[in-house]
Amino acid sequence: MASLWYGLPAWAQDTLLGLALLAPLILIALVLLPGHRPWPLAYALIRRHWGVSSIFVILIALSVALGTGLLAQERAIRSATARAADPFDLVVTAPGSELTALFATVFLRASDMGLIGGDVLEELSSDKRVALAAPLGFGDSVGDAPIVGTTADLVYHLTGGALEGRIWASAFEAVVGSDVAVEMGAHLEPAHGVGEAADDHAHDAAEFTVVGRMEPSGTPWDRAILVPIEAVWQVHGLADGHREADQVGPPFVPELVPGMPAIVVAANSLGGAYSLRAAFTRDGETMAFFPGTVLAQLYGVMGDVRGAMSIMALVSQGLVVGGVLCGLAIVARLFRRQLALLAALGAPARFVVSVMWLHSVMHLFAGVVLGLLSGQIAAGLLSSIVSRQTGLDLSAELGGAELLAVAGFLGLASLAALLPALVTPPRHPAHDLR
Amino acid sequence: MADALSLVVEDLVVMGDERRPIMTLDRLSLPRGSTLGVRGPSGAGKTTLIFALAGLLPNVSGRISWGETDLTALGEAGRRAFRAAHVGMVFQDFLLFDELGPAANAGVFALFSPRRSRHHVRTRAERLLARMGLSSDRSSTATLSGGERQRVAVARALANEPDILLADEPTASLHREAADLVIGDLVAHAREADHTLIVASHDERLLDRMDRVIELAGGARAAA
Repeated sequence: MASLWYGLPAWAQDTLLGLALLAPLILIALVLLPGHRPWPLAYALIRRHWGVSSIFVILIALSVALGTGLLAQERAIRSATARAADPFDLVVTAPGSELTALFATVFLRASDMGLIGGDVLEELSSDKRVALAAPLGFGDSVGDAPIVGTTADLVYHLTGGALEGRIWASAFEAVVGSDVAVEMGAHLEPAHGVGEAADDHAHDAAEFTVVGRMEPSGTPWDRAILVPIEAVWQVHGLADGHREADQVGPPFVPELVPGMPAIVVAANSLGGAYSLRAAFTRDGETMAFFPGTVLAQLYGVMGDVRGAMSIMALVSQGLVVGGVLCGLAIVARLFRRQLALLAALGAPARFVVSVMWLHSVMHLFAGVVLGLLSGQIAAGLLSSIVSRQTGLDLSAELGGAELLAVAGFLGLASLAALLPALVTPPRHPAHDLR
Repeated sequence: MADALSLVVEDLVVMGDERRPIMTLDRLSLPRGSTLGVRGPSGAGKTTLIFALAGLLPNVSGRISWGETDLTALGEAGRRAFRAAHVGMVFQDFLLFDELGPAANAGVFALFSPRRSRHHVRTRAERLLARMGLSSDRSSTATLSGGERQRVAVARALANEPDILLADEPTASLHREAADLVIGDLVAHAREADHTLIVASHDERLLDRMDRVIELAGGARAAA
């Protein structure tokens, strides 16, 4: 049985699960509705108390929007951060917090990091297991855009060679991310530091010329300015890793390398990556970590938070539905005479119950549809705010998880919607007709 | 069977909520296709009698036989089914669905009748409305006058071609002119289709048109 289930494609599993969650709704509909047409009356009753019905629908919509928006947003953050970390197999830094190093390298959030020396870069560059070892140098900026010093190899690694313009040929040429608002050929003056703390006049003599632009990647690197790491060193009055002037890129002379906060490493094989991580995890010297692993730990924590928030959203949905159904039961008393009239005309009890049930279920459906739409809009708004702050391209879209949650909600709520229907007609119709 | 749905009531006792009889009727019989008026002051039991004859009341003992069917022997569902098949009812305050148009109101029966008869019910409802001079293409009955609304209700009662028409104070909420139109519709249709018509009313103009009139007082037949 289990193997049959796991043998099914994902869409089939989702569909079956959705149907199972909707089972109460489907079963009730199959029992109540066949042979009758209760819709026109249910709709007429909604129109009678239009204002109250709208408020009920809005309440349901808000609770659904909250739940689905939250799920969609959380998934969007996960997929965007995972995408951003994708090109970074292994990162080697000075010992410290993996999380800080992750944020500094993958997400380009400025932070103080220790430096590692040219010998580590040399050792990595000559290792057979290594396909790419690119130094990173941070600390300067142009406006809001951080300047990242590195080698041309990393630019190829990030872009796969898809570049507007060309890669730098000398130390003071720059390749910019797709979101950096400068023209090709523009001249950029770096400021020391990033953001508010930047000192605009520390590097007055230096100037970069923009020669290339990377394709959009949906990561914080879209707003970075990439320059040769030699330039970063020179601007700070340090040696630039080479004996000859004007040399750009590897090989570096270890003793002339002033140090760098991080080295991005791509391994030739998965096994190589693991052994490199072990080899470069050295007490007091270097730390090596997989950004993907650190993110996975972070998702674990986020998952716990999401779990707690999902439960809160679920509880709030339950409360809202309970409140709305109580309200509908009270509203139903207002049209007891109409229901008694149906009994007087000879309508079967099943028909009267189905009118009441549909009356409630139509509120639920309208609320759920409106809730999914507004949840999508809310998640979109939230995403654009988070995107602006982090540079991550978040696209929060409704997915299977939200639809399944909504299916479960509809299933349970449609069962609960029988209550107003069953509570309303116990009195004998003759009472209500007088 | 020409006498299929003649009415015979015997030893009828209707118990009220407090387990006391609120209405008694020793004997009443009515041939099929005849018309009966029920007169009496408020509280005399006119509405109770109409509801009892429709099988709308619980706690009824005795016999209410429409043809072969004794309503007091039927359960709730059986009485509903009997009403659906044989009874049309008209009430003092119309009881329309205001949000539906005249045609939908008059044809409301089609919403729960068997699929094969739906079309027939709807066409008949529209034909009845047309005969009464009511336009059926409105989307609401909220703006109709009281007389128009009651005639929609009469069309609704007739749409399923009932053998029995029961009306409880059908003209009490209407001004004279509208009341006369409703009386005309009710009586004309009953006579034409050979319906049995029983009307509880204060309205002498309506009672005058009935074959017979009985008088109730204090929940029992008043001495003639």
